[in-house]
Amino acid sequence: MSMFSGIGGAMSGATVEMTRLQVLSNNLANINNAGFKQERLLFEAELDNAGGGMGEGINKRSITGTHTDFTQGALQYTGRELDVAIKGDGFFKVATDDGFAYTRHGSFVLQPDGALVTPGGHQVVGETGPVTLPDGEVSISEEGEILGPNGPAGQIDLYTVADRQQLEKEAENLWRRPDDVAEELAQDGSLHQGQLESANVSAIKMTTELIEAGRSFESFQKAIKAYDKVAEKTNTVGRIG
Amino acid sequence: MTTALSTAATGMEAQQTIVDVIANNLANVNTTGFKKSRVDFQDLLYQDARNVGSAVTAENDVPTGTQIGHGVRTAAVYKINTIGDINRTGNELDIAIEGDGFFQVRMPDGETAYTRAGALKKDGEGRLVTSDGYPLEPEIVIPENATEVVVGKDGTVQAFLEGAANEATDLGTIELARFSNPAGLKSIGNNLHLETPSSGGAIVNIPGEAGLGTLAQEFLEDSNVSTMQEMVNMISAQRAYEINSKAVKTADEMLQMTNQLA
Repeated sequence: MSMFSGIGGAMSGATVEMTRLQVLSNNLANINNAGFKQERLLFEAELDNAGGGMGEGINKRSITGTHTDFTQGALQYTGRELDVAIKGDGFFKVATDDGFAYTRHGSFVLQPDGALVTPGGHQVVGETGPVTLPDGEVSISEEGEILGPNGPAGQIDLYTVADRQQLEKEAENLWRRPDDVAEELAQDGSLHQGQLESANVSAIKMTTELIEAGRSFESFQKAIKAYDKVAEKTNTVGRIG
Repeated sequence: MTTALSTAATGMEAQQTIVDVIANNLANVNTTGFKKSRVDFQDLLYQDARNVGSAVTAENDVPTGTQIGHGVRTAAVYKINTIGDINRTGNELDIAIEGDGFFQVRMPDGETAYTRAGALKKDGEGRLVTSDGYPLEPEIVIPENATEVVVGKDGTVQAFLEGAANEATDLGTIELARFSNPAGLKSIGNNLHLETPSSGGAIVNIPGEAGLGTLAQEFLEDSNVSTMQEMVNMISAQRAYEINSKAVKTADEMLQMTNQLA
């Protein structure tokens, strides 16, 4: 049995906590970013050299991935005509230079030609093509029907995929769909004009997780130090004088 | 490790921007025709430590990738163009716009600027000017011997002259301008805005036509800033700043502990 599987376990634990802190920091940085969905770090205990009879190394941990928490964020009233929040399942579909992407960040702006775009300039796209708003006061129904001063003026559609974890997060509040994942119309999502969806980051939960990450890092650091001491002692065993 | 530090720093910066914008909104709570601003954010690039769907073995894919985010940045600060409360002042040259539109003002360099602050005055030549002395476009001159000025809902300006109390004299029409994307106007201070490529061109017409609002004489439009709402936003920004600073502190402590290993 070697000393080093133990120190390796402590090190893997410390590394996981460092990565966890990175994920937490990103969630916290986006706490006031509308439509943001928090990430969680997934890690698992790895059986290292199990069956050796000593139970050694079972404290080794490794990161298996990040998981996006898609729970609903609170809807906040803004009164702004071009703010649209999604309640329930679904994403707005927008056109980007690299194809279509998805977002829940519903604070849209207008281009001079009436194109409904994200603040990043990506136009919203529905079943009938790019969405353009008519001039004048516009109301958007829960089903996404756009009603302009002269009657119906198009439709905003919501899209989703069977397993949302397969979507890849990108900058600018966008998600991208891998080519082998099929897109479908979202069935149980509704639109709410004049509101925005808050980020689903809970400040309390994040604070406790921050403390937890810091404290477990500390105990791993102490374990590494202890292993170091033991190793030092081992080196001096049998020395005379 | 330093990633967590800089990520948390972007979060603190974001909250700082919110507070900056709120401070400006609150400072203008009593500014006639002022429109509040709002900050819009977007997240930064994600670093894919392991991609979704990449192969673990020939048969198995990674079910969830590892995506580490790098924080947040300001995407835009834009005006929220809801209408403010209309308040009666009793001053005959105070004119509020009920609905969409801006007064057109001629700047000293000949350019046209746009404003909703309708606290108009008379200058030495009798022209209707803004508080800063910029004349309305088209110009309206009020004769010296006018006893009363009447501004109609549709922008017509008439005056009753001394000695002719029963007969109104036409002085012209106040025209308004509107934009397909008023959030794209550039604010230049003094309640003035300039046209930009993203606002689109000005659509000029008389009040009440082409989607423009009507005029209300002896009224002024308050700012659309709600003190209560701004205070609530400020508290939330302050708390978010605090918690982001805690992430910085945790990262710092971890670094310190790492340094103590050797």
